[in-house]
Amino acid sequence: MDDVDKCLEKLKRCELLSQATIKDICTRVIDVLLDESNVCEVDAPVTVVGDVHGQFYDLLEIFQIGGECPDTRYLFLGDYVDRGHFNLETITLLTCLKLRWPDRITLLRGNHESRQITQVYGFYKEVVQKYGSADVWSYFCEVFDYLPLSAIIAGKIFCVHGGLSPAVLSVDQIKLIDRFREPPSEGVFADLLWSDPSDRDGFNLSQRNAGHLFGKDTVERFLHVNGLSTVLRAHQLCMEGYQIHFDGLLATVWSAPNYCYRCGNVASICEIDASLNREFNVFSAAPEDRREVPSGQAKQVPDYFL
Amino acid sequence: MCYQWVLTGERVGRRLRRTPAAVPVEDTFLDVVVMSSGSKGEQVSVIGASYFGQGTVVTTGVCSTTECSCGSGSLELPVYFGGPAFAETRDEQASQLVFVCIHGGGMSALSFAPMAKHLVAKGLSIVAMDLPAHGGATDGPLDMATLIGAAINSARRVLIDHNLLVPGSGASESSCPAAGWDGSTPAAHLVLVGHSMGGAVATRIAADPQLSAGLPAVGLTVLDVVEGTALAAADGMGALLAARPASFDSVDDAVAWHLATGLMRNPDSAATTVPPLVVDAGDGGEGVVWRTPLASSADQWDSWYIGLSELFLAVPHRKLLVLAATDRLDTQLMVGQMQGKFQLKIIPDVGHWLHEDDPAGVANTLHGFVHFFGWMPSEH
Repeated sequence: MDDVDKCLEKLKRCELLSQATIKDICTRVIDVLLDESNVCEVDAPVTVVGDVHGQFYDLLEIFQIGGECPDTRYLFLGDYVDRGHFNLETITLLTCLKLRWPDRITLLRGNHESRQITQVYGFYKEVVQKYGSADVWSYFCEVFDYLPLSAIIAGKIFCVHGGLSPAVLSVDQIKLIDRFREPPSEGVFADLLWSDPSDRDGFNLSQRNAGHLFGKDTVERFLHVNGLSTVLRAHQLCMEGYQIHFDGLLATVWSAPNYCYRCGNVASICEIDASLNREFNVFSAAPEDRREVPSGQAKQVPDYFL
Repeated sequence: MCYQWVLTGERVGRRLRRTPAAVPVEDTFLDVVVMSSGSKGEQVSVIGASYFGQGTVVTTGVCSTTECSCGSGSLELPVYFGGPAFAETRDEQASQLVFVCIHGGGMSALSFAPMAKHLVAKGLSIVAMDLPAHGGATDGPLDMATLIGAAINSARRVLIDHNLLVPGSGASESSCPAAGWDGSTPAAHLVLVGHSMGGAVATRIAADPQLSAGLPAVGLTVLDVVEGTALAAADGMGALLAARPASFDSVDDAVAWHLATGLMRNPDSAATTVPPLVVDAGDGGEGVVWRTPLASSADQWDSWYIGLSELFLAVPHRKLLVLAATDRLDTQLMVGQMQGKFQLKIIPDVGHWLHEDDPAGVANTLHGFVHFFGWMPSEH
């Protein structure tokens, strides 16, 4: 794994790897991911991270605050790419970490880990800009196809990117999903990646035009049937970095501070100790002097708006 | 020709191999209709038949949201409509879906003509009007209240005439934003669609219960306008308008200019949508000039856009925002989108007139929107 160590050193300096190296790493990490279930079993203590969205310097901040991998065990809930300026560096670093320490970091799939979404929200464009072709994008899209959909921490905390589905009552039903493909726009797979909690009971259609809204009663039922204690998910921006819903039955963790470099929000990581106590460690964006400003970012100022 | 890349998967053991396949998408060609004679009613009828299905002229009062002056002035507004909801032999029991489309500043109802054909092909219906001082409509002020009243009244007339909207007991034909509408009942699913300035009109209608009562909709779609970006661009907009040619030698020249400057990217659409934007110079002048005095509306722009993002987020209907690029979101909408408050759809490779640049793509998006929420018209 010496070569992966060298890659990690380069990446932490925000240097890109060669296309051939990335292809090799992606191929090797797929072999690791192939063996993971749709529902990963993760031990505690573990630190859970929400959406990162290509905010590379804030990811480095997370490792500063939460501890370096492999010293700290990590579970990432998806949405590694799109919107940020360093999507490539972010996903390459996380992929290398997974290859190097497969038991110390778990990467789930978010709704942005898809060909359709990344073509529109920035990852595809960044790859073409930095590598001159879309090959690296397609290597990572193949990796995305193998990312597991959910995890359970110490048999008690259910983790997923979006939320629950009306078609899933038992965790065993999630294990039956064929995840090795581009996520469809509707159905269980889509729900797990797109759903949001809501004040209304039951399942309702989401305003996002994808996934469902799910109420407190659905969470209670799901936890009870599966012998779980809480749900931990990401997917929704929290101005305070995290949000607790349904009297503690569900929490949202959001890990991209000052989202898109202008929303002004703080972020958090959820540190879970061996006794399954949750603590949200809140942090702000990495300071300006520790960030690189991306070059060649021509901002498209729209001329007409009438 | 444009191609959509479709990925086909093939399993080999437990590994996936993917090969892209090019799937050609149907070309769209619209016949260009140029009318040089005939009454306004005749012209509207022919244009309507060519692009939408039908056309009519609605006469309505000029009122504000606070003051009724229905008797003191009148606007003549061409309204175009088409689709199964307006068919002569329509099954009254079957549900219908009608998009009520409000065009952008300086444009006309024909802005939606390229898209109309695609919507109708999917069993959906459309109504689009010329707002005051635009296209074939008579002149009128461009304040938000007048635009709102014009949009609601013209759409209502057509919907009521075709039994797609049942007026309440207190409402009459000349009801206006000031007088309000009591208890009108939709007999179809109505979705408001607004482009740019029209998006501000549509949002303000949807956000106000009194105005919503005039056009009771289930969904709102805004095309490429965002408060933050609009206000940020406002300073440069005056200069942009001043830099436009004041006149063109011919309608064809006007079409060519829109394409050459890159403002519009689809020649077939521009050939349809640009002609209504210019009129004969008249008074011994040569060539054609701009129909709408956009530059003089500058003092209205703030009132069109200030507060729009908050209003959009507060609209109780299902909402879809279609943008030409992700950069166009302002902070308020960015937060709202990441909190799942509405659907965001980015259309690639288009400009500000995205429904003209990619009419099939935008029609598909609208179809997906109404399909997801179960408002699709029932099969006949």
